Amino acid sequence: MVFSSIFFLYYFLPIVMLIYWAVPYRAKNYVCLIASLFFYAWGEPVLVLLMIGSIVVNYFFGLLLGHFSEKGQRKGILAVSVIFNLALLGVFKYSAFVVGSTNSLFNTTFTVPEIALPLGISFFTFQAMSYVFDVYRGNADVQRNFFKVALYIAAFPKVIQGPIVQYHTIADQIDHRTISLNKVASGIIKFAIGLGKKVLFANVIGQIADSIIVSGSTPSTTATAWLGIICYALQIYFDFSGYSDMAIGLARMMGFEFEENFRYPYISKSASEFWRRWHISMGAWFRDYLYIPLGGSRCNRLKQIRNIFIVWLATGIWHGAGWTFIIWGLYFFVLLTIERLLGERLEKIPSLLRHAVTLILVLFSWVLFRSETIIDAVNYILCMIGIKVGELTVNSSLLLHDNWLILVLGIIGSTPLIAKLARRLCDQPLMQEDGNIYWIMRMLFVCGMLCLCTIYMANSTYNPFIYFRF
Amino acid sequence: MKNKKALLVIVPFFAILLIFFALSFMDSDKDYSAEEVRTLAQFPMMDLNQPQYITSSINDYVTDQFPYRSFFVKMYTIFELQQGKKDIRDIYVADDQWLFPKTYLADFTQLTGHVIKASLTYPDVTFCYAILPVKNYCLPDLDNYQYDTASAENLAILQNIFKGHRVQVIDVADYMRNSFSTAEKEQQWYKTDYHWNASGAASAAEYIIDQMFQAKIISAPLDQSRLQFNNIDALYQGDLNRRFSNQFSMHENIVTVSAIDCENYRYYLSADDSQPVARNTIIGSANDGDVVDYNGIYTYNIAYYRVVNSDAPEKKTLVIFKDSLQNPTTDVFSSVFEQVVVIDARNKEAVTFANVMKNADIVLFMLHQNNPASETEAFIK
Repeated sequence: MVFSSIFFLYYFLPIVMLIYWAVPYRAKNYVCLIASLFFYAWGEPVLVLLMIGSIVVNYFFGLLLGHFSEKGQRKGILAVSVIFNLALLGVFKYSAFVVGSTNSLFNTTFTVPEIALPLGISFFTFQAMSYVFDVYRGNADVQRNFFKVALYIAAFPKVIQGPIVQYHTIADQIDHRTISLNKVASGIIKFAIGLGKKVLFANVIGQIADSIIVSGSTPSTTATAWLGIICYALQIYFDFSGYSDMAIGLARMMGFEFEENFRYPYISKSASEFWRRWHISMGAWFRDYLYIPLGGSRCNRLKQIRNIFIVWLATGIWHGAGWTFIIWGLYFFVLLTIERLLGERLEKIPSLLRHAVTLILVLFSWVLFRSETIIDAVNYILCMIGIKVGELTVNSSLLLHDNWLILVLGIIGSTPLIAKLARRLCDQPLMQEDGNIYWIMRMLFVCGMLCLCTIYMANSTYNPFIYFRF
Repeated sequence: MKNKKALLVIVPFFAILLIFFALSFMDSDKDYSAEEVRTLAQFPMMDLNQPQYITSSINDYVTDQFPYRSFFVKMYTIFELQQGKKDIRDIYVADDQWLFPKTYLADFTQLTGHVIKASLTYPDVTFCYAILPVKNYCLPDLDNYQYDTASAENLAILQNIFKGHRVQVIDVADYMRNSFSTAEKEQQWYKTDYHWNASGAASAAEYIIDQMFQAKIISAPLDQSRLQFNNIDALYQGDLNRRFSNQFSMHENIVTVSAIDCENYRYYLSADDSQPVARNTIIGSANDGDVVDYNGIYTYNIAYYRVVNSDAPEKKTLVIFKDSLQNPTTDVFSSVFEQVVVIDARNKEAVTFANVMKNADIVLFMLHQNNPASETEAFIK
């Protein structure tokens, strides 16, 4: 089920929320869990059993960790849990890629397995691993109530596309959380912002990107190639951050607090800053459960580079079963290593130049991320730098004429400018937080956004979520 | 739960959701969206063997049957127009309210192959292929953003594909594009429709007859004095305007053409010499003040009909395989040919190609330059 769909917005959401608020406090977790399983089963009516299986197994890993206190035994349980979860990902996400690549590299003829990729497997598996890691480390207590573990892993706001919420950050909220009118209203506003990002920006700009970035073809002009990748950069930002905002908003309506997942990544002045602002929850997961256990930055320079390499190789692989994702991950390994080696010398470069270079490097990274094959990516990059153009003719002037406004608004919207203006507006005496005008403005914003998005949703058949496939 | 002002956000938000939720159960399901030219999704049949399709079908169903959806579609159109967009719903919005449909490269291999094969099967019959123009191709001056990327290429393919075969190509597209000024051409086409009016259609028909005469396929030229043009003061419902929920003016240059002696013609709906039918069974009419559309004022899209004019100067039977651009031209051809048989293969009818060809002297394909006419191809096949 897609958040930005009529079915979710006008059927699933009001029914679930009304029941959720109506039932006694002790029943809320069960309502949320049942709704979450229904939500997931709507998209994966069969493979929902796989997710339930993963929850059951990881629940028992948690119980075992709670049962054994000896370090070696606990380490063994953790190792088995990691192997189990990675095997799950390996079979369902990577087996076709591994066999296909083996056949290509070694000229073998193994049958490529045709296994459907379960929705959000990377997200719910990483959250399941987070539960076991946190129990192992003592960051959280063993959860003996199976339904609460199930709720943590399967909660519908985040099960398909994140954010990847670490267990220790939410364990207490599963047991005790407050639901206030302020919190619900704030959740609705956050949801409306996310819905607008997705429906009004990502979907509209995504259609431009899709008409320019076509597998097997390269644009016929360099300018068109740049237009295409800029549109894709805006699409993926509004798509993913929009989904994250909707997830955070929905969770807040139910009393949960998730961390922000995006903080205006395109204003970054370095690749490392970009990754502190982009998909923050995934970066935090790799930092806490991989980078730091490997030694993090508290080791010699060579080991630091090794650690960065492992983390970014894993990040690339996590994003998709394809060489383009692996190279995309390694591309950021190279950038981050260079930044690490340059250290403070980087600070001496003028801020504007650092920003421009970072933005361009990120745009090149999106070429790798978006391309289906390495050849497609290389051809597209060659087109961007003016070395080789292709045959794909796109009516760029018409695209720009029709979409300049949304592109300009999109570029502005990907910076903190609008948020700053809104904050400044809220500083006015008339707009004090407990004032009527403040709340009326919020109401108008929410209703306006809802109506506008409904107009677009009722019309559009173009509604893909890019991160669904991860 | 102290801040009651937060209800100002919560209540309207959920009120909107719940009102539409309730309305969705009260509203009856719709079958068709005229704006989008497509059938709307209906509640799916349950197939437990393919559960994943059930959920996606229900998603489509609730979206298509959303209460007041046509209003939302209209609002969407208005937003898009207000932004000054040129490409909306695969239609190019040119200056002065001219609308042009999107064009696509066509594959003519099957159609032309069967036409060539038929021309060899019936060596006594003359085969002509009139390439009719599309609006985009005729009015390139209005296409400031090169929206039409396919028509010229399709035309070039059609012009060359019959070379060396016994099919006479009549390039009406280039004639209509190059023989008139832009101002004249603007009088030949409806602004908000795919089609031309009778002024444009008659010019095309005259050219076709003239080309047949020049090629000595027929011996009698067209006598223009036997035609009369009529301007109708009605509102015009353009097909393209309908897709914009009629956001554009419905005042168009509505022209019809008829033969002065058309009341003497006999009209039939079958190949047998059965009882003739009234003219208005085949050809529509309109009065001043009506709201009319293209299919209502020219010949209807009937699978088979024939017109017999005993006083015609050319004592031959002309068989026309048509698309809708042919509709206004029947009287022009009937004023010349003793019998005109018109086949619209898009509509199914119990008549075979062999039957149609029994009395044919000339077969004329009247299809526009972007039309691979799969139904016509299937009919000939």
